[in-house]
Amino acid sequence: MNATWLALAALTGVIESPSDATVEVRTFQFRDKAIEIPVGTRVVWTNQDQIEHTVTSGAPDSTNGVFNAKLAGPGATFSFTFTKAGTYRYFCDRHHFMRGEIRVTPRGE
Amino acid sequence: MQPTRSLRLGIAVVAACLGLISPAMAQGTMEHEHSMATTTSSDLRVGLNSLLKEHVYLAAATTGAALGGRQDEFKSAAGALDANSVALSQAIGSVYGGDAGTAFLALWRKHIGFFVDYTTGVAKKDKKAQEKAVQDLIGYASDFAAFLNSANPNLPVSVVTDLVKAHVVGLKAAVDAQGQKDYATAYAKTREAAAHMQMIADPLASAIAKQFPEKFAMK
Repeated sequence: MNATWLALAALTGVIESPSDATVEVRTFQFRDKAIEIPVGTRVVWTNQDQIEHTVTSGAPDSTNGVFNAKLAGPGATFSFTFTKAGTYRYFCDRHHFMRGEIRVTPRGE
Repeated sequence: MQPTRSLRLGIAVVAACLGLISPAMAQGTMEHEHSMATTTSSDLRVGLNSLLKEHVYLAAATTGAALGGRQDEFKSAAGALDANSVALSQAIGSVYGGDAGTAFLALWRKHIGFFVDYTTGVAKKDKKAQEKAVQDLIGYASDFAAFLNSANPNLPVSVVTDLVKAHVVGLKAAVDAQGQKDYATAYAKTREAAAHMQMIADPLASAIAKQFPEKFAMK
């Protein structure tokens, strides 16, 4: 892999950094459904379904605006870096039964 | 509520085929109605056909009772319809995992909810509500196809979408006839809709058998 490609990849976010965590969106599920990460970690969601999903923070009857992204189809990604400790619940706004949770722990725990 | 004899049979066949219960347990459940010595792709096909056809008959029984104002019958039919949905989800879950089964059940119940909306629109002669429900059902067809395709790439999205749309159109015709108290047509359309489920059950069974050849012997 040459330096130019690496620089381009870093600019476009193609390469996940070592501190990334990943969530796969497949068969109308967030996999893993719940993950635990340290503060500062970037989470990358990747849609593997042939349909649009969303990654929307909160719950269907109480969105909280922390993040809300469409994953248009297979291969679509969304990333978000969690800078504060806490538990972040999220769901798909097109399929409300799809739920997930990110537990963000302070560094050093 | 006690499931019907044929529903028990369908659940037992699919459950045994997909490894939910042992053949011996299935035999007990079916009261020795059917031998389950081996798990074959044909057993799988028969089981899925049984459950999916039953879905249509129970759905029509539910909408018919609702439109006829028979509240007690409606509750019982809706309960049996949901038991059928759960059995289908257990079958899917036994192949693709419990979480996939749970997602399937939520998705499957969604289309039943849209049919409830449609039936309510027919009862109230509310054309807008009917149109909205039809649009929701058409949108659902794509979602359902995407789910199956994600679980099993042998099931093309466009093909499954068209098959589910045909299911929607077929059952809608039965509900329309029920609403007009044209019972001869209602039953004819219900039978057509039930027969059409083979168009979904057969390719679904084939695709699962193809995906898991070690689990489903081709016979």
